[in-house]
Amino acid sequence: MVKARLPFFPGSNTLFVSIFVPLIVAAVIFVVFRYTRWGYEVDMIGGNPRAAEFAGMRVTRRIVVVMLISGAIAGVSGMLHLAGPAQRLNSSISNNYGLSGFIVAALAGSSVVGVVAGSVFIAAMLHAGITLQSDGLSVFVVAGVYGLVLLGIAVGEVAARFRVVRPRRLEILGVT
Amino acid sequence: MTLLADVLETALPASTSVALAASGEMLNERAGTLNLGQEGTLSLGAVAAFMVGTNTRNPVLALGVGVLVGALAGAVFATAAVVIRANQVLAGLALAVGGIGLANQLGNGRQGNLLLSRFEPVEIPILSDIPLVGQALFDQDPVVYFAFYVLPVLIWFLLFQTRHGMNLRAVGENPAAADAVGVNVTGMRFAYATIGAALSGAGGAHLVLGYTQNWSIGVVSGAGWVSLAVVIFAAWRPFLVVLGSLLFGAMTSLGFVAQARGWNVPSYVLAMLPYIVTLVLILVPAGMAGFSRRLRASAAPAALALPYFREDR
Repeated sequence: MVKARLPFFPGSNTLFVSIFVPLIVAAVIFVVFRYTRWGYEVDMIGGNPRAAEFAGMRVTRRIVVVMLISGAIAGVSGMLHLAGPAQRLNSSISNNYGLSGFIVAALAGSSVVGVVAGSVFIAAMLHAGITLQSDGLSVFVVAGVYGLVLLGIAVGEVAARFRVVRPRRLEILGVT
Repeated sequence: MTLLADVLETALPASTSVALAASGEMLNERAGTLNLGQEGTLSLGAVAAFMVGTNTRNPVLALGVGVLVGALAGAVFATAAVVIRANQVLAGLALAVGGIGLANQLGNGRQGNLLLSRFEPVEIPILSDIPLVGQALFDQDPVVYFAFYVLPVLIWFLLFQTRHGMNLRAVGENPAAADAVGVNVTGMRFAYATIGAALSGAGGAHLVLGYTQNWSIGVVSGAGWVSLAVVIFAAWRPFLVVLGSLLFGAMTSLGFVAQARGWNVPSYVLAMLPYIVTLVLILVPAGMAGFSRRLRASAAPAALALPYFREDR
C-alpha cells in the first residue's frame, strides 16, 4: 500500500483530485501551441524539419526538449495512477496504458481537445470491459472489440472524407 | 568458449519468431506499408498453431494454419490500410490490440494443454561437426534453418536481383513513379502486406511449436514490437534483419544461461537485457549514418506509411 495517497474529489469516493492534472496539462499544451513562439516552432518542425532548419530553428534542441517533456508527463501519469486508483505497486501496473496513449495520440491527430475526448472514450471502453467481466464476459473479448473499434475509426476517418455528389445535368452531357 | 555455444543453441530457436516477423515486416515496409500490428499477428499465429497442435500430430499442418491465420490478419490490415487507405499507424495498432485480445480469448482455458506436434531438431551432417558452434547452428529444427539460412537469401534475391523486386522497392520509394510505369501500387502493397503478415504468423507458430512448446497468455511477450525495432536497426536489409533478430535471441538466451550457471545477476535485469540491447542497437545505424554516406542512403523507404492517392500525383 502506498502511504502518499491522493485526496478524493470532494463528494466522491471513486474520483481523485488528480482528474484535474490531465485537464491542466491539456490546457497548457493548447496555450503553448497556439500562442507561443516555442510552440509554433515545434509545430513547424513536425511539419517540415528541413524547412524549419533553413528558417534558423534549432531543430535537434527542440526535439530533445519535447521528448523530455513528454517523458515527464508520462512519468507524472504513472505517479498519479499509483497514488490514486492503484494504491499498490505491481509488475503489471502500466497495464498497456502507454500503448493506449499512443493510440489516443494517433486518433486525435494534433488536436488537444481530441486527445482529452479520445482518452475518455478509450478509458470508458476499457473500464466497461472490467465491469462487464462480472457479467461473465472475458476481458480478452474487450481487447478484441477495442481493436475492432479502432479499425472502424481508421476506416471511418477515410470514409468521412467522401461525399455523395450528384453531377449536374450539363456535366453529364460533357458541357462545362 | 562453450558459453558462446550454449548461448547460441537457445538463441536460434528463441529468436526464430522475431526473425520471421522482422523479415516479413521488412518486406511490407519495402513496399511502403508500415504494419504496427506484428504483436497481434504473432499472437494469432501462435494460438492458431497451438490449437491445431494440441489436436493433431502434424507440426507442418499447425505451422500452415499459423501462416494462414497470419495472412488473413494481414489481408484485413491491408484492406484497411492499402485499399481504403486508412491511417496506417491506427490500423496497425488496431491489429495489435485486437489480435492480442482475440488470441488470448481463443487460448483462454487451453493453457497447459498437451502439445502433440512439435518441431524436432534435424542434424545437418558435415556442418554440425564444426567445432564450437556446429552443434548450436546446425542441430536445430527445419523452421530455424528456413528463417536464418534460406529466407534472407530468398528475400535478398527477390529484392535486389529481380525486376519484380525493383518494382516492389519503387512502390515503397516513389509510388507515383512506379504507377506511371505501370506497376500496380495497390496490388503490390496488398500482396506484400499479406505475405509479411503470413511470415509473422509462421513466427508465432514456431514460437509455440518449436520454442516454448506451450501456450500461455503473453507468450509472445514483445517479440512483435522487437521485430519492428529490428527492421529499423537493420536499415531494411535482409541479412542484417536476421542478424539483428539473432542478437535479440542471444540476449534472451544469455539470461537463461546466466541463471543456469548461477551468475549473481537479478533476474529482472536479465529479463530487461534483450530490450535494452535492442534500444542501444537502434542507435547504431543512426550513429553510423553520421559518418557514412552509403549508410545514410539506406534509410527508410521514402514513402513508408504514406497512403498512395493516384489523384494527388
